[in-house]
Amino acid sequence: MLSFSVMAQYKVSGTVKDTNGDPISGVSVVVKGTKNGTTTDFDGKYSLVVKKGDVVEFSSVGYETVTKVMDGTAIVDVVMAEGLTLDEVVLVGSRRAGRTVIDSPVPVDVIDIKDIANNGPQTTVNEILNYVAPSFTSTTQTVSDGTDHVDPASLRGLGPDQVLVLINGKRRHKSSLVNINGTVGTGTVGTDMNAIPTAAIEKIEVLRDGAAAQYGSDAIAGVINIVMKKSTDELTLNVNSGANISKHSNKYNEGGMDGEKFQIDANYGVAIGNKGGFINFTGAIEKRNPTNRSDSMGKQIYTFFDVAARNLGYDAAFAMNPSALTAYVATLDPSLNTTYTNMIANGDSFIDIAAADASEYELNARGLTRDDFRMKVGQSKLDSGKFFMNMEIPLNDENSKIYASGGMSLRNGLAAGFYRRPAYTDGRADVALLPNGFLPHIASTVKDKSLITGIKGKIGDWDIDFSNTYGKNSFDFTIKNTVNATLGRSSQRQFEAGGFAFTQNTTNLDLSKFYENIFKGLNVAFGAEYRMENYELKAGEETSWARYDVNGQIVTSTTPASDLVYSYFGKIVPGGAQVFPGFRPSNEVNQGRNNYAGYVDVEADITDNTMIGAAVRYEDYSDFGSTFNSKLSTRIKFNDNIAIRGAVSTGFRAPDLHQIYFNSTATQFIAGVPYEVLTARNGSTLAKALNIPKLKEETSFNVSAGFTFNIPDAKLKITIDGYMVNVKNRVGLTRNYTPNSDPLVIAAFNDANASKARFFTNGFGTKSKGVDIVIAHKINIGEGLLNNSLSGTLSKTEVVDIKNILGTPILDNRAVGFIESAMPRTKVNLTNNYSIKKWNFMLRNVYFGEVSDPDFLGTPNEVTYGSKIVTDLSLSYKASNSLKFSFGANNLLDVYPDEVPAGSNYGRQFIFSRRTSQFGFNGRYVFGRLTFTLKN
Amino acid sequence: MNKIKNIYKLFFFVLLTTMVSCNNEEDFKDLQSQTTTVQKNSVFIITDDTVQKTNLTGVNDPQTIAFGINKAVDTDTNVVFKVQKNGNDAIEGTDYTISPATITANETNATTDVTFLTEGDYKVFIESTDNATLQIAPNYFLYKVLPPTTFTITWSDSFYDYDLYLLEGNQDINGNIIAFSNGTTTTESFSAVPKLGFNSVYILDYLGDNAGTPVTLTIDDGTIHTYDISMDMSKFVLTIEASVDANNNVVYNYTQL
Repeated sequence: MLSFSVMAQYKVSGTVKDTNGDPISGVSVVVKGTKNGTTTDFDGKYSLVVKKGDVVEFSSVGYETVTKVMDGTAIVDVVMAEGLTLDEVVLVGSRRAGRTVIDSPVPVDVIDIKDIANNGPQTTVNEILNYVAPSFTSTTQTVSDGTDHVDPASLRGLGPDQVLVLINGKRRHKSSLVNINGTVGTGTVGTDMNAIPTAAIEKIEVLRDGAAAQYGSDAIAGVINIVMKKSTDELTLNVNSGANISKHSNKYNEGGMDGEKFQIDANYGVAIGNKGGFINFTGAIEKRNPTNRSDSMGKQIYTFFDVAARNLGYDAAFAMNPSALTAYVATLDPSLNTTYTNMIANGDSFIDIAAADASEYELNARGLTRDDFRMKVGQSKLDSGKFFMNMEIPLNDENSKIYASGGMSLRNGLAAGFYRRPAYTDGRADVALLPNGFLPHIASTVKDKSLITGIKGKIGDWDIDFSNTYGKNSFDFTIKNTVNATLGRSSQRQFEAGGFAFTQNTTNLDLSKFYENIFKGLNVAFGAEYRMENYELKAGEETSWARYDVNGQIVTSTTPASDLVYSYFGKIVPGGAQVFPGFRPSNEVNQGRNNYAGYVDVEADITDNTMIGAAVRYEDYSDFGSTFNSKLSTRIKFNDNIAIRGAVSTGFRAPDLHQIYFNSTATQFIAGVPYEVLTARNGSTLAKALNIPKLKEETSFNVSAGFTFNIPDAKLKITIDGYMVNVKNRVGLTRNYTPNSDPLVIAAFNDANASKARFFTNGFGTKSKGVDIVIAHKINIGEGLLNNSLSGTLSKTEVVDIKNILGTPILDNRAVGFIESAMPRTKVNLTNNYSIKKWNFMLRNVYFGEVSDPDFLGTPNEVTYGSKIVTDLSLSYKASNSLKFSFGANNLLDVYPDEVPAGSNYGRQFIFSRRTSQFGFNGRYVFGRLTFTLKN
Repeated sequence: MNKIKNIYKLFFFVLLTTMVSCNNEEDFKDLQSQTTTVQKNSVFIITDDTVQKTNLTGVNDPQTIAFGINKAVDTDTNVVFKVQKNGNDAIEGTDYTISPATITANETNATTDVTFLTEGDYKVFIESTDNATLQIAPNYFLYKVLPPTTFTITWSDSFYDYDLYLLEGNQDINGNIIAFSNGTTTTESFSAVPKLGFNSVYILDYLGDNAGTPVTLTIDDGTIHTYDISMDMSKFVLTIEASVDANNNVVYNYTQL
């Protein structure tokens, strides 16, 4: 039973300022040894319910921690001196309340979102982390279906699904999209952090260490905890506008401006009662225009057939035999006659001549240029609206409270695929309907909602926290400006192609107790968790996936070859909506599972300087079984300035429901007979026939060690952490397989009517190792303060133990390349921030190491894109207490990655690689921001 | 009051910024050709040939040519063919004859027969029609009119009866019969021009004796080629691959089976 007894509690408030008399916002104000705390607002003000005798710690990055004993005084103002203790209280990494960054036995980065989002050019969570957090990599994708709107993110070079994301310490649900495209993160399911408005975030804690024994599945590379705002009695409004002003904007060799972004967000909090309760709301809308870094279309656009079709009419040209058609076209222009004559002399077939390049002649005849056929290669268009709420309501003076947080977001994204040029000889461009082909688009509607509710209090001496976390993410695809080519002229232009949804509900019960008198302090925590998940895959409308015959009937295995729809060139026209055939009814899935877990976590301050921690966790999943994981950690402080830390742990990642149940079908014709090319469901008959086992958990072994080193006189702090993470049985997407000579295998493929198939399987392992270095420095210059921060990561990931199916490794060179070398192994960030009076100047230089293009791995001409330095610069001016201006640029020097070799860039469309993840290729981004703050 | 004014100012500023920043450009639109195209009709030779090839034929061997138009017209269309021999205009009645070539009203195709009277290299194509609206597709047929090759089989014992066939294709029993001889004496013979590509000589054991009788096959293409065959069954005995070399000469490559 929660305790409701009345003690000698009261509300203390005050202002925290620096030695210059300026208020400090974002200071952590915590009753030592408890989780009772708050942060200072924009004006440095705080208020907190305390008891007489409580020791309250005031801590913030860059300042010396101050402690005050509460003696009943209601107003306590604090002055904090600049320092480098980096001992801001963190919630992640330890269940002991009040642990600070420096006390943590594992490396934790604390990122003050407000400062970064207000002063810097990055506005989304992924963008901020990519530029600020060491070993975090995330870039936008292009021409990658739904992945265009979800940025796959990686910590320490591991997969996007191997980092756990928490909101206020509670598990965040994952995206419903599984990445099956050829980009970094293929075969994985990540967490969509961009669904959360940055204006609702107070700070982000990045735990760079395995933590599965504490938090459960996914925490192999680390944990990202997003701490939401608690501020009250002030309205903060940000109006943010910017654009890419770059030498390659609009078109590769044109330059100008594109990618315009407009964002407005508002945050307002209201106090509830007079015991520290609050409710804080955030709303954000964003409109983002696309960028395009392609050049004029360099591929063939028109054929001889298209020339004849324009002159004679499509139907008349289609009825002509190739001999006649090509001879006719040859008479129209000397250039065409030359092509015709040369190909005849070369013995080329009439069909080949009919497919010959007539682009230049036909473009001129139609009054078009190659620019009219450009693809959209770059950032997708995105409109979004987000809402988030965070609240706490104290129930008594014993720090019992109910809390809730949650939000909704709606994002509409629009990205394009490959241009369907008339030159496609299989008829996919449907030139009977669209003589100049078309550029199909994928419109994704991404909806996200979440709600965390809980109650905290005390039972006896035990702190108890009981909560429920619900989250749902869904993707729906509408394919626009496209056709189903087998319907010819009668094809509709827009299709509902289906989508996915993922729902998760987690119930937690956590108890902890701090024993002051055992050792120098012993914290014991234990708890339980129950989680339910559900994955849905919904089919699209029939015309989005069906292949029709000449009679308008859906093609089956019994359809006569003569009834199929053929192109002029004798090829069977592909069915389904071009660029993204919809999901079929046979692909539909609605599956769930549940799991429960129990853990015990003990942390002991053996001495004032030595801490040892141990945690064990047991989880049982309804589908694949149970896991047991453990962690040992330690931190030894030699003195106030030197500490070493280390941890050893095991971890796991449960296969996602998406990976278990996702399946899709495409149709390929061989000798006139249709066969299916499958992404086969794990557990399907075909998978079993190939001895592909049921998916099980990935397991990991993590070792980390590091030290922190302060030089107070120089105001210098250094942390160095090394790590090694070995993962076994990683789940990945295999290459396509065809049947071998084994009769049983052949029979299995025939039964599935499949010519090719790929699968999700626990097929390989990885070994990762690296070093993270963080150096912070502060110095007064004139009347201002210069903060310098240098962080770097050097890492290496190696793919090992690749399994075979049908005698062939499941991963080809490209798939290995996505994991080993498509992301930078080295990243170094140098940030210099100078504040003086009402001005703030920020200069950031980030070094991105070289990457290798997976498309060329294993070939004689492997391609590496060199290392680059990207520079950000921003200035802020605080015009008044209510108004602040900021402006600046990301990638000020307009740096681009090295270009894809000529001849491999798809006709100068993919001039910059879409396979690697370095820093993107949008070029310079210039922004301006107004921040309004209105207070009660 | 000031705060309320500030809020109003803020609201209007945001509204203005939103209106200015919104991009109402269309995301995509169908690419329209700028020129107006006129759909025309054309007349052309109809062929299933996949490549431009030279047909091998002999003198007085009629060759059927199919031709057609894209869209039927409501009057008869008379089509005039041009025949060239060795690069010059051929003389009708001397070098060749050709039957009338007319596409009947409301029809889309017709045929004509051309017969070559002298040996040489010929090119046949549509020259004109009596319908000025028709575009003419100048696809053409090439012919090599060659002296015939004589095929002869002989054997000594009149007890046995064998027949001689020349088939199109490589040992394709269902191939087109180019020529045959099926008399009752101890010799069979015919003259024919093999087709471009593979041709096959087949000897039929008419009585089914399977006796292993020795038979002599003689081929005279200007050079005498002799083959000894043991007739143990009806069978293919020889293939002939006819091709045109770089000097535009026909070459026969014989392979005894």
